[in-house]
Amino acid sequence: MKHFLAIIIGIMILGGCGPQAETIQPLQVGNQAIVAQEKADEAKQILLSMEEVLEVKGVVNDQGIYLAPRVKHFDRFHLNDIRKRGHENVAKRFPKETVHVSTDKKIYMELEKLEQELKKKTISEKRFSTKLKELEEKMKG
Amino acid sequence: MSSSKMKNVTPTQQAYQRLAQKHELKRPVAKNCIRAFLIGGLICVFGQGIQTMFFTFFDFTERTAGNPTVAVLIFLSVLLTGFGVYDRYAQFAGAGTAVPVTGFANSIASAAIEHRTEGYVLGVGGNMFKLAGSVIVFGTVAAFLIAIVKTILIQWGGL
Repeated sequence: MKHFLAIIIGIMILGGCGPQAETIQPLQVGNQAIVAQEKADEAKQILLSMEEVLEVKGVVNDQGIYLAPRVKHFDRFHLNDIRKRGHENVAKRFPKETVHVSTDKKIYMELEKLEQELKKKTISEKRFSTKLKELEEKMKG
Repeated sequence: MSSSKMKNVTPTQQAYQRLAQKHELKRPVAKNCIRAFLIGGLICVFGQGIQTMFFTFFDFTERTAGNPTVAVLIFLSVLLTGFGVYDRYAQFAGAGTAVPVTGFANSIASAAIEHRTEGYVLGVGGNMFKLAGSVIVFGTVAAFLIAIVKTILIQWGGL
Protein backbone atom coordinates (compact mmCIF):
# COMPACT_ATOMS: atom_id res chain seq x y z
CA MET A 1 0.00 0.00 0.00
CA LYS A 2 2.78 2.41 0.94
CA HIS A 3 4.63 1.73 -2.31
CA PHE A 4 1.43 2.27 -4.23
CA LEU A 5 0.89 5.68 -2.60
CA ALA A 6 4.50 6.68 -3.13
CA ILE A 7 4.30 5.81 -6.81
CA ILE A 8 1.06 7.75 -7.32
CA ILE A 9 2.37 10.84 -5.51
CA GLY A 10 5.60 10.62 -7.51
CA ILE A 11 3.69 10.51 -10.79
CA MET A 12 1.57 13.47 -9.70
CA ILE A 13 4.60 15.59 -8.80
CA LEU A 14 6.40 14.72 -12.03
CA GLY A 15 3.25 15.27 -14.10
CA GLY A 16 2.65 18.66 -12.52
CA CYS A 17 6.09 19.94 -13.47
CA GLY A 18 5.69 19.48 -17.21
CA PRO A 19 6.52 22.35 -19.56
CA GLN A 20 3.88 25.02 -20.12
CA ALA A 21 2.19 24.94 -23.52
CA GLU A 22 3.62 27.44 -25.98
CA THR A 23 1.50 29.93 -27.88
CA ILE A 24 0.53 28.72 -31.31
CA GLN A 25 -0.10 30.91 -34.31
CA PRO A 26 -3.80 31.01 -35.21
CA LEU A 27 -5.00 29.61 -38.49
CA GLN A 28 -5.12 32.40 -41.08
CA VAL A 29 -8.09 31.58 -43.29
CA GLY A 30 -7.79 34.79 -45.33
CA ASN A 31 -10.18 36.03 -48.01
CA GLN A 32 -10.06 32.89 -50.13
CA ALA A 33 -12.82 31.25 -48.09
CA ILE A 34 -16.54 31.32 -48.97
CA VAL A 35 -17.00 34.19 -46.53
CA ALA A 36 -13.94 36.46 -46.29
CA GLN A 37 -12.21 35.91 -42.96
CA GLU A 38 -9.72 38.78 -42.84
CA LYS A 39 -11.47 40.48 -39.94
CA ALA A 40 -11.51 37.22 -37.98
CA ASP A 41 -7.80 36.75 -38.65
CA GLU A 42 -7.04 40.21 -37.32
CA ALA A 43 -9.31 39.75 -34.30
CA LYS A 44 -7.55 36.48 -33.53
CA GLN A 45 -4.20 38.29 -33.46
CA ILE A 46 -5.64 40.91 -31.10
CA LEU A 47 -6.87 38.22 -28.67
CA LEU A 48 -3.65 36.28 -28.94
CA SER A 49 -1.68 39.35 -27.89
CA MET A 50 -3.32 38.99 -24.47
CA GLU A 51 -0.98 37.35 -22.00
CA GLU A 52 -3.47 34.76 -20.77
CA VAL A 53 -4.48 33.44 -24.17
CA LEU A 54 -2.74 30.40 -25.66
CA GLU A 55 -4.73 29.80 -28.84
CA VAL A 56 -7.67 31.41 -30.58
CA LYS A 57 -10.27 30.08 -32.96
CA GLY A 58 -12.64 32.45 -34.68
CA VAL A 59 -14.77 33.14 -37.71
CA VAL A 60 -16.67 36.12 -39.05
CA ASN A 61 -19.81 36.65 -41.08
CA ASP A 62 -22.23 39.55 -41.59
CA GLN A 63 -23.80 38.89 -38.16
CA GLY A 64 -20.58 39.49 -36.26
CA ILE A 65 -17.21 38.15 -35.16
CA TYR A 66 -17.20 34.89 -33.18
CA LEU A 67 -14.10 34.18 -31.11
CA ALA A 68 -13.09 31.43 -28.71
CA PRO A 69 -9.75 31.78 -26.90
CA ARG A 70 -8.08 28.92 -25.07
CA VAL A 71 -6.88 30.31 -21.77
CA LYS A 72 -3.81 29.30 -19.72
CA HIS A 73 -4.79 26.86 -17.02
CA PHE A 74 -4.11 29.04 -13.99
CA ASP A 75 -5.76 32.07 -15.59
CA ARG A 76 -9.02 30.14 -15.89
CA PHE A 77 -9.87 31.62 -12.47
CA HIS A 78 -10.42 34.98 -14.22
CA LEU A 79 -12.38 33.77 -17.24
CA ASN A 80 -15.03 36.46 -16.79
CA ASP A 81 -12.47 39.25 -16.80
CA ILE A 82 -10.56 37.75 -19.75
CA ARG A 83 -13.77 37.51 -21.82
CA LYS A 84 -14.62 41.09 -20.98
CA ARG A 85 -11.19 42.51 -21.81
CA GLY A 86 -10.95 40.43 -24.99
CA HIS A 87 -14.35 41.67 -26.09
CA GLU A 88 -13.35 45.28 -25.39
CA ASN A 89 -10.07 44.97 -27.31
CA VAL A 90 -11.71 43.51 -30.40
CA ALA A 91 -14.71 45.84 -30.23
CA LYS A 92 -12.32 48.82 -30.14
CA ARG A 93 -10.73 47.68 -33.41
CA PHE A 94 -14.06 46.81 -35.09
CA PRO A 95 -16.60 49.23 -33.64
CA LYS A 96 -19.23 48.45 -36.28
CA GLU A 97 -19.21 44.69 -35.77
CA THR A 98 -20.96 42.67 -33.10
CA VAL A 99 -18.27 40.74 -31.23
CA HIS A 100 -18.92 37.45 -29.46
CA VAL A 101 -16.21 36.05 -27.18
CA SER A 102 -16.68 32.72 -25.43
CA THR A 103 -14.24 30.66 -23.39
CA ASP A 104 -16.43 27.56 -23.55
CA LYS A 105 -14.51 24.51 -24.80
CA LYS A 106 -17.46 23.34 -26.86
CA ILE A 107 -17.60 26.67 -28.73
CA TYR A 108 -13.84 26.40 -29.25
CA MET A 109 -14.23 22.94 -30.79
CA GLU A 110 -17.09 24.02 -33.04
CA LEU A 111 -15.24 27.12 -34.25
CA GLU A 112 -12.17 25.00 -34.96
CA LYS A 113 -14.31 22.71 -37.14
CA LEU A 114 -15.85 25.70 -38.92
CA GLU A 115 -12.40 27.21 -39.59
CA GLN A 116 -11.22 23.97 -41.15
CA GLU A 117 -14.35 23.68 -43.26
CA LEU A 118 -13.98 27.26 -44.44
CA LYS A 119 -10.34 26.69 -45.33
CA LYS A 120 -11.15 23.52 -47.26
CA LYS A 121 -14.31 25.10 -48.74
CA THR A 122 -16.49 22.17 -47.72
CA ILE A 123 -19.26 24.33 -46.25
CA SER A 124 -21.97 26.34 -48.00
CA GLU A 125 -22.67 29.94 -47.08
CA LYS A 126 -26.17 29.06 -45.89
CA ARG A 127 -25.03 26.23 -43.64
CA PHE A 128 -22.26 28.47 -42.30
CA SER A 129 -24.71 31.14 -41.20
CA THR A 130 -27.16 28.64 -39.64
CA LYS A 131 -24.25 27.03 -37.79
CA LEU A 132 -23.18 30.42 -36.47
CA LYS A 133 -26.74 31.18 -35.32
CA GLU A 134 -26.76 27.92 -33.37
CA LEU A 135 -23.39 28.80 -31.85
CA GLU A 136 -24.65 32.22 -30.81
CA GLU A 137 -27.57 30.58 -28.99
CA LYS A 138 -25.14 28.28 -27.19
CA MET A 139 -22.91 31.18 -26.21
CA LYS A 140 -25.88 32.87 -24.57
CA GLY A 141 -27.27 29.74 -22.90
CA MET B 1 -11.93 15.56 28.85
CA SER B 2 -13.43 18.83 30.08
CA SER B 3 -12.95 19.81 33.72
CA SER B 4 -16.70 19.87 34.50
CA LYS B 5 -16.95 16.20 33.68
CA MET B 6 -13.82 15.37 35.65
CA LYS B 7 -15.50 16.45 38.92
CA ASN B 8 -17.83 13.45 39.00
CA VAL B 9 -15.07 10.94 38.37
CA THR B 10 -13.45 9.03 41.21
CA PRO B 11 -9.64 8.75 41.33
CA THR B 12 -9.84 5.08 40.38
CA GLN B 13 -11.86 5.96 37.33
CA GLN B 14 -9.35 8.67 36.45
CA ALA B 15 -6.53 6.18 36.68
CA TYR B 16 -8.44 3.79 34.49
CA GLN B 17 -9.09 6.48 31.90
CA ARG B 18 -5.41 7.36 31.77
CA LEU B 19 -4.59 3.69 31.27
CA ALA B 20 -7.19 3.33 28.54
CA GLN B 21 -5.91 6.42 26.80
CA LYS B 22 -2.40 5.01 26.80
CA HIS B 23 -3.52 1.86 25.01
CA GLU B 24 -5.96 3.53 22.67
CA LEU B 25 -5.00 3.36 18.98
CA LYS B 26 -4.11 6.74 17.53
CA ARG B 27 -6.23 7.87 14.60
CA PRO B 28 -4.00 7.85 11.48
CA VAL B 29 -5.00 11.38 10.44
CA ALA B 30 -2.31 11.90 7.82
CA LYS B 31 -2.96 8.52 6.19
CA ASN B 32 -6.70 9.17 6.14
CA CYS B 33 -6.15 12.57 4.54
CA ILE B 34 -3.97 11.11 1.79
CA ARG B 35 -6.48 8.35 1.10
CA ALA B 36 -9.38 10.82 1.01
CA PHE B 37 -7.38 13.13 -1.27
CA LEU B 38 -6.53 10.35 -3.72
CA ILE B 39 -9.93 8.64 -3.92
CA GLY B 40 -11.86 11.92 -3.83
CA GLY B 41 -9.57 13.21 -6.56
CA LEU B 42 -10.13 10.09 -8.62
CA ILE B 43 -13.90 10.56 -8.35
CA CYS B 44 -13.48 14.15 -9.53
CA VAL B 45 -11.26 13.07 -12.45
CA PHE B 46 -13.93 10.54 -13.40
CA GLY B 47 -16.59 13.27 -13.23
CA GLN B 48 -14.43 15.57 -15.35
CA GLY B 49 -14.10 12.76 -17.88
CA ILE B 50 -17.87 12.33 -18.03
CA GLN B 51 -18.31 16.09 -18.53
CA THR B 52 -15.72 16.16 -21.31
CA MET B 53 -17.46 13.22 -22.96
CA PHE B 54 -20.82 15.00 -22.77
CA PHE B 55 -19.63 18.21 -24.41
CA THR B 56 -17.43 16.46 -26.97
CA PHE B 57 -19.84 13.86 -28.28
CA PHE B 58 -23.25 15.35 -27.45
CA ASP B 59 -24.96 18.66 -28.02
CA PHE B 60 -23.95 20.23 -24.69
CA THR B 61 -21.72 23.19 -24.00
CA GLU B 62 -19.16 23.06 -21.22
CA ARG B 63 -21.61 24.83 -18.93
CA THR B 64 -24.75 22.82 -19.69
CA ALA B 65 -22.80 19.54 -19.54
CA GLY B 66 -22.62 19.96 -15.76
CA ASN B 67 -26.19 18.85 -15.12
CA PRO B 68 -26.08 15.45 -16.89
CA THR B 69 -22.65 14.84 -15.33
CA VAL B 70 -24.04 15.24 -11.82
CA ALA B 71 -27.00 13.04 -12.77
CA VAL B 72 -24.70 10.26 -14.00
CA LEU B 73 -22.52 10.44 -10.88
CA ILE B 74 -25.58 10.30 -8.60
CA PHE B 75 -27.05 7.40 -10.56
CA LEU B 76 -23.80 5.42 -10.40
CA SER B 77 -23.30 5.99 -6.69
CA VAL B 78 -26.92 5.00 -5.91
CA LEU B 79 -26.43 1.85 -7.97
CA LEU B 80 -23.16 1.03 -6.17
CA THR B 81 -24.82 1.71 -2.81
CA GLY B 82 -27.61 -0.71 -3.70
CA PHE B 83 -25.10 -3.41 -4.59
CA GLY B 84 -23.22 -2.76 -1.34
CA VAL B 85 -19.99 -1.83 -3.11
CA TYR B 86 -19.90 1.85 -2.22
CA ASP B 87 -19.62 1.10 1.52
CA ARG B 88 -16.34 -0.71 0.97
CA TYR B 89 -14.83 2.20 -0.91
CA ALA B 90 -16.13 4.54 1.80
CA GLN B 91 -14.46 2.39 4.47
CA PHE B 92 -11.16 2.88 2.70
CA ALA B 93 -11.44 6.48 1.55
CA GLY B 94 -13.53 8.15 4.28
CA ALA B 95 -14.18 11.79 3.43
CA GLY B 96 -12.96 11.20 -0.12
CA THR B 97 -16.21 9.43 -0.92
CA ALA B 98 -18.40 11.56 1.36
CA VAL B 99 -17.54 15.05 0.12
CA PRO B 100 -18.29 14.75 -3.63
CA VAL B 101 -21.89 14.58 -4.79
CA THR B 102 -21.62 10.78 -4.74
CA GLY B 103 -21.52 10.86 -0.93
CA PHE B 104 -24.73 12.85 -0.84
CA ALA B 105 -26.45 10.30 -3.08
CA ASN B 106 -25.07 7.49 -0.95
CA SER B 107 -26.46 9.01 2.25
CA ILE B 108 -29.96 9.21 0.74
CA ALA B 109 -29.92 5.78 -0.87
CA SER B 110 -28.46 3.95 2.12
CA ALA B 111 -31.00 5.51 4.50
CA ALA B 112 -33.83 4.55 2.13
CA ILE B 113 -32.60 0.95 1.92
CA GLU B 114 -32.09 0.70 5.66
CA HIS B 115 -35.62 1.84 6.58
CA ARG B 116 -37.50 -0.04 3.86
CA THR B 117 -38.88 -2.55 6.36
CA GLU B 118 -40.77 0.24 8.15
CA GLY B 119 -42.94 0.90 5.10
CA TYR B 120 -42.64 3.17 2.13
CA VAL B 121 -44.22 6.31 3.61
CA LEU B 122 -43.03 6.42 7.21
CA GLY B 123 -39.96 4.27 6.64
CA VAL B 124 -38.40 5.25 3.33
CA GLY B 125 -40.09 8.64 2.96
CA GLY B 126 -39.54 9.68 6.56
CA ASN B 127 -35.96 8.56 6.94
CA MET B 128 -34.53 9.16 3.48
CA PHE B 129 -33.39 12.70 4.28
CA LYS B 130 -32.31 12.07 7.87
CA LEU B 131 -28.65 12.39 6.92
CA ALA B 132 -28.99 14.38 3.74
CA GLY B 133 -31.42 16.84 5.30
CA SER B 134 -28.69 18.57 7.29
CA VAL B 135 -26.61 18.93 4.11
CA ILE B 136 -29.52 20.59 2.33
CA VAL B 137 -30.33 22.89 5.27
CA PHE B 138 -26.76 24.05 5.86
CA GLY B 139 -26.05 24.25 2.15
CA THR B 140 -29.05 26.50 1.59
CA VAL B 141 -28.30 28.64 4.64
CA ALA B 142 -24.64 29.01 3.67
CA ALA B 143 -25.58 29.94 0.10
CA PHE B 144 -28.04 32.52 1.44
CA LEU B 145 -25.47 34.10 3.76
CA ILE B 146 -22.79 34.22 1.08
CA ALA B 147 -25.26 35.77 -1.36
CA ILE B 148 -26.01 38.47 1.22
CA VAL B 149 -22.29 39.16 1.72
CA LYS B 150 -21.77 39.33 -2.05
CA THR B 151 -24.73 41.66 -2.52
CA ILE B 152 -23.48 43.96 0.22
CA LEU B 153 -19.95 44.00 -1.24
CA ILE B 154 -21.22 44.75 -4.74
CA GLN B 155 -23.87 47.30 -3.78
CA TRP B 156 -21.95 49.26 -1.15
CA GLY B 157 -18.40 48.09 -1.45
CA GLY B 158 -18.25 48.91 -5.15
CA LEU B 159 -16.58 45.60 -6.09
